Amino acid sequence: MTEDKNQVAQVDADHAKEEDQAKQEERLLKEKLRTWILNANKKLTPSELDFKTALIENRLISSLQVMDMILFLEQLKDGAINVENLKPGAFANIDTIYERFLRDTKDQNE
Amino acid sequence: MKRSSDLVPSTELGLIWKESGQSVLTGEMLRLFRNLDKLFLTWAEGWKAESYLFPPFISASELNRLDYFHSFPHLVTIPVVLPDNQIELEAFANRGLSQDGSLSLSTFEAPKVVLTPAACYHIYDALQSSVLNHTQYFTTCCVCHRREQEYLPLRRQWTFNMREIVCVGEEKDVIAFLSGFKELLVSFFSEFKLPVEFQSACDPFFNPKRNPKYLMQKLDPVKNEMIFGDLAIGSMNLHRNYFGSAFNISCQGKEAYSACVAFGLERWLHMLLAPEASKLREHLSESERKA
Repeated sequence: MTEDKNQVAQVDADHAKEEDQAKQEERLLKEKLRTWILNANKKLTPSELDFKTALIENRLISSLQVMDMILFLEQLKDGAINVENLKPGAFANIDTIYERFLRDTKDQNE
Repeated sequence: MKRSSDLVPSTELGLIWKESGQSVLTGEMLRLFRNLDKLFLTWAEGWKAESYLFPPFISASELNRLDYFHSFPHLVTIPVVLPDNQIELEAFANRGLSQDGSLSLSTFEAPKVVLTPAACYHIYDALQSSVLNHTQYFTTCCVCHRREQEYLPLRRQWTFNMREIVCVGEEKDVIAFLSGFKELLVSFFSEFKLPVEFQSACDPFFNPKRNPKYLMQKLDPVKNEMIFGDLAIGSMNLHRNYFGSAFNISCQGKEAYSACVAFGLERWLHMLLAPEASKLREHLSESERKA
């Protein structure tokens, strides 16, 4: 019985560790996006950009920069993005970009 | 619902079709055309829109500010003239028409104008470098020219009439203009029992996948079309500060925002031929009688 409990505890610990790693990876990717945007838009200060800042609505990235960002996302995810399948809101903010394109390795935009 | 294949142009109907992609209106169709435009004008008057009548040409350099020739080269129609010299003119005069009905141009002057592709461009051009104290409203009706792969009477024409109502000024007013106009239209379509739906759409860009503006329109739809059956009879467009920036128009110290509501008159005529539009047809005839 004690052995079973130990096994369950170990599984829980492993699971928590995986979750921590996933969260760290998510944070890292979002920070990479944030840095990319700050480099692209020099008028923007770091304090003005968080993961929920409206990018398209506030025109913080231009149409040309959207194209460049797609190339950057393709590098990050190591896969192609089909622009025909782009949906409104996909580039709303850093959180939505992560959810649509980076959460899984497969193209969620399909 | 009437489809293009149902529509047989005839003098009796008041519609003569030119294979070049243009229609001639007369009789009942011309009356309906005029009454429709009066209807659109009453809507424009609701915003106290200032009327303009523009010439058929628009400067290529002004359109270039909008990157038009990169985005829509497939649509553009360019008027050309012969070089102003005796030898060339005589050569042209003596050549006459080719057997297929085309003119043979060995040379022509480099064109600096194009035939208007959309009515509202003239308005931003006219407002160029303006400093507006308050939001303003404009309206114009132009013959517009867009080359297409195929043409269908009243549905898709090389030349067609477009009535636009345009708002230029502060962001809040531009947003209110579009929402107010949408309310008006929803109520109008409902009153006349017209099955018109509003749908997001993108402009018909050349090589769309390579055009950043197309991508931006997909991500942030700014065009809302009025769809009757499978036909867009008009559209509502939010340009944000795009034209304000391109034509240096400002309002209250900021780049002006703009939006337009556009109606394709021939397409509205096509809608009027459908049984569902009988109530609107009667209304337009009644209005004419009262006038």
